[in-house]
Order: sequence, then C-alpha cells, then structure tokens
Amino acid sequence: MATSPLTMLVNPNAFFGRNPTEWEALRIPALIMLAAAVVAGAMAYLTTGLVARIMPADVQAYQGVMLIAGTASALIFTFLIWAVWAAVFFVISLAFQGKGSFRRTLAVTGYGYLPMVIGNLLSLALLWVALPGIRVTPVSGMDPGEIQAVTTALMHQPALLLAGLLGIIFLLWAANIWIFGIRYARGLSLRHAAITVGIPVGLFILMTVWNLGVFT
Amino acid sequence: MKTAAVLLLLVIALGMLCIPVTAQDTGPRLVVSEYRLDPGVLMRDDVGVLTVRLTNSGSEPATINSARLNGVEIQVRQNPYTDSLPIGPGDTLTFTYPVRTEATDGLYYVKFTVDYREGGMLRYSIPVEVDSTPLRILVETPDFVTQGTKGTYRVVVGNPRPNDATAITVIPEGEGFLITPSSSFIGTLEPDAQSSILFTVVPLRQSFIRFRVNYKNGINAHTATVTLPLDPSENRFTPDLALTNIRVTAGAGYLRIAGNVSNVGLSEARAVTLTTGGEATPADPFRVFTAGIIEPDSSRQFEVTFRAPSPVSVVPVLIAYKDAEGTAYADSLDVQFDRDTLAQQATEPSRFITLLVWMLVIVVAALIIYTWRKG
Repeated sequence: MATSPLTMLVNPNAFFGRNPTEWEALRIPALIMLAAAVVAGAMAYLTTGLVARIMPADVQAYQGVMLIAGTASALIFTFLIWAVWAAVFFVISLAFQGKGSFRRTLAVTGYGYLPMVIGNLLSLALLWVALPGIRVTPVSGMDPGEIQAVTTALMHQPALLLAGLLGIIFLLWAANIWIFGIRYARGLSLRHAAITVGIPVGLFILMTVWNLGVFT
Repeated sequence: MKTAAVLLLLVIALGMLCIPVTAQDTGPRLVVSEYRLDPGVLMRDDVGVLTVRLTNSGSEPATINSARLNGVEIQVRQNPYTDSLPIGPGDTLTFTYPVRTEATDGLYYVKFTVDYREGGMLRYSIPVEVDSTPLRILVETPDFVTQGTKGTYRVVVGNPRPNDATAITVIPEGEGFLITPSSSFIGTLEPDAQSSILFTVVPLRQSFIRFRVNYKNGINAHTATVTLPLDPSENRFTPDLALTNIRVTAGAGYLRIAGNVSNVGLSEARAVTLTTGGEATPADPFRVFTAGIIEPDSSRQFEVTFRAPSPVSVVPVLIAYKDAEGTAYADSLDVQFDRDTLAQQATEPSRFITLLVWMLVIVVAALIIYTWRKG
C-alpha cells in the first residue's frame, strides 16, 4: 500500500519513509513529469491561441507558428523546471547539512508534481470551456505598451484567475509532498525540510499572485 | 243638300287619312314594315344603331333614289343610302343608321324619308327614347366595422332603366383594407331586376371603400360608383402581448434574452412564438420559443437564444401570435444590452465552479494537516 504513488498523495511521510531504494528510481517520476508536460502543453496551446487573437492581423497570420512554439516550449520547460526545482531544493538543503544524492532529490521533486498534474487537468478543462467565450480586441500595432495592457486585461479574466488559483492550491499540495520527500532524500529534520521547500515555493506563489495582478 | 255634300267630303278626307302610308294607290306601295333601335333606350352621349325595314307591298317594282334619316336632338352620324336601289313587289330592304344623342331625358323623333323614282316620297317618323338613369347601387354594411376583423358587405345592383344593362361587373377599390373577392361579375340585368354580391372586408385602418359598377348600354360603357367611409373601431377584443422582466445573460457561445410574455388584451392569444430578428442569428437551444396559448391577464416565462456580431448591442425580439379567428398579429420589442458586461459574464465561473474550488482548498488543507499529524 505504501508503495503506491496514490499513498504518496495522502501520506507522503509513509511513502518516502521507506527504504530510499524503493522510490529513488526515476522511471515513475519521469512518467509523472511527462504527464505534467503534456497537460502543460495543452494549456499552453489554449492560452497561446487566446494571446494570438489580441495580436494585429498581420501577426495573426503566424498563429500556427505561435501555437507550435508555445506548446513545444511548455513541453520542454516542464522538464527543465523539474530540474530547477530539484536543484533549488538541493542547494538550500546544503545549508542544513543535507546529505543524499541529487538523483533522490530529483525523484522526490518528480513525485511531488503529481498533484499539479491533477490541478492542471482541472485548469485545462476550465480553460477549454471558458476561453472560446472570451471577447478580445486585437491591438492596433506592435506597441509593447499596448500589448502589455491588453495582456494584463486578459489575465484578469475570471477564468484565467481561477486557473491560476487552482495552480496555487495544487502547488501547496505538491509542496507538502516535497517537504516529506526532501526530509528523507536529504536526511533533514522536518523543520529544515519545510524551510528548504517553503522558501522557493513561497517566493513562487508570491510571484504568481503578482503576475495574476491581484495586487494591481 | 249642301250640308250633305260637306259631310261626304269630310268622310272622304277622313277615309284618306286612315289609309296606310303609301306612295300611291296603284303601282308600287312602299311601307316601313319594321324599325329597331339598339340599345332600345339611349343614354346621353350614347351611340345607337337604328335599323329600318322598308317593304314594297304594291304590285309594281320601284326604284329608290335615296333613303335618308334626319333628326334634331338625335344626330344621324351617317346617311349612306344615296344611290339608286330597286325594290321589287313584296321585297324588303333594310337600312341601318348610326345615331348619337346629347339630349336630356325625353322622347324624340327622327324622320325617315324615302324618295323614289315613280314619283313618290315616303316620310316616316320614328320615336327614340333617351333615359340617362344609371344603375343603382345599394351597400349593406356589417353592424360593427372592427379593425382587423372580417366583415361582410352586401352590394346590391339594381336596374331602374327601361332596357337591359349588360356586362355588369362590381369592382371594390381603395386602400387600407383587405377584400375578397377582388371583383365580381353579374352579367345582364333586365329592367327592374337586381342582383347582390357579398364581399368580405378586413379593415386595417381608417379609409374609404368604393364599389365601382361597370356596365354597358348597347355598345356604350358606363360606370356607377358608391363610396363608403371605412371607419373601423379599434378591436377591443384582440389579444395584446407585452414583454416584461427582460433579462439578457450570456451562455456558452450564445446570448439569452429571458422574461415574461403577458397577454394584456381581452381575448386569448394563440400560437404565440418568440424569436430574435435584426442582425441577431437565432441559436440553439431556443432559436424559437413556443409559448402556445396565453389567456388574457396571464403571462408565461420565455427565453430566446441568439448570436450577434460584436458591434450589435440592440436586438429585436419578434412576437407572432393569432387570435381565435386565426388573424395573425406580429409585434417586436427592441432589447438593449451591454456586450462587455455580457462577455464578462460569459467567462465568469459559475457558482458551482467557485464552490468546487473552495472544496479543493479544504481538501488540500485537510490533506496537509493529516500528513503533518501522521508525520
């Protein structure tokens, strides 16, 4: 029972508290990250389509290129960010004399992405329903200020705000898994593990909330 | 003796007056055996044809030098018989003359004069009657002339003339009403006869209705008309629909107009349907809303769904219904809306989704608390 990734979702302490050899393999985390990458690619496809609609008519001619570029970027960046999160956790944990391989940290980080896959699937469904109904006004030219203003207005759309909120909720869930995972992957106390994960995740949430324009 | 001689002369003179019109006692005897005017009675400005038949009832043939017709009030338009014409004993010749009159009503005479070679002259007066009395038209109207409601008009055409009127047609004329039939044919009316035609009229507004009766007297076309005011009263017993409590909301890919449709008239509205018109394109699920029958003083909720291009912010709601007699009515109401607000609504998450998000927050929070207690 404790070996199931589903157990990890509700009781990460038991899941990662086992012998690390039972979970440090990267096969399952990689599969989780692949799923995350596919969902992120689909979300990127939808949002790029929306952004393309605000572009001037001559730019909209390249909508196909924009969609491919946006989707491919999301796929690649998901794997890149996996490594970045793991690296950040690894480096911060050094301050607490953390031990354990980077491979284990990478595995923990990958497992922790599972809640975000679920959250992103919900966001994807929300965007799928809401985006076609959003009325956008194309910008008149390539003025960066105008594009920024229109994009900001777009981001304030309730559906996009809600998708962002869903992302934060499921990131908190992921952070909870990461804390217990890092604790065992790097041999830290629960408090140090919480700090190791809490600092970057907290900063990321602040940045996300700022980007959503909640403070503006 | 003298008195007896005078009486004898008088008897002889009277006897001579009683003898038929003849050229002379022996030889050819020409008499007007028949004459006929078509039409039998002329109207003012009419053209007629007078036919005279001349018979030689004597034992000798005669040669006619000329046969003329003359009149004062009755003008003879042509006198073509100026060449010699032989007529044998027992034979009959026919002479036709076109005549015309501008005279007022009365009895006039034309004089038929025959000059023939055997030394005689025949003069014969023929009466011609002029009567310009037109056909009479009587219209029986319905008791109530109500706007939008059928009414039956009975048009009675009578012939007070002394001769037949032919080719009689009745044609209704005017605007502001619907009428059936558009015309009616009566044909020939004998003197003092009448015929009636029924017309069904639906008045649409205040106007006039004219019944034109075209007929012929011989070859002459005449017209008689009667004009009636058409002053329909407002139909107080028609259904009258009003839209209230209008709300415009946005759905997934369409806009929705919802509200109440109320019958504020005094009779039931049937086959009530609502849809959108103008630049709006009706869209599923309610391209057309069928409200069915709505009784007076009752209302029914409705909703119509549509799509409209971006600049459009006013959409007419079209209402169609019928009264108990099947008369169709149509009405429309312009509904205004703010597209930006609606666009916002369209993308706004529903209460269900908001509730779901809060449930997720609680679940995730509970999970975190659970794992920390376990840890």
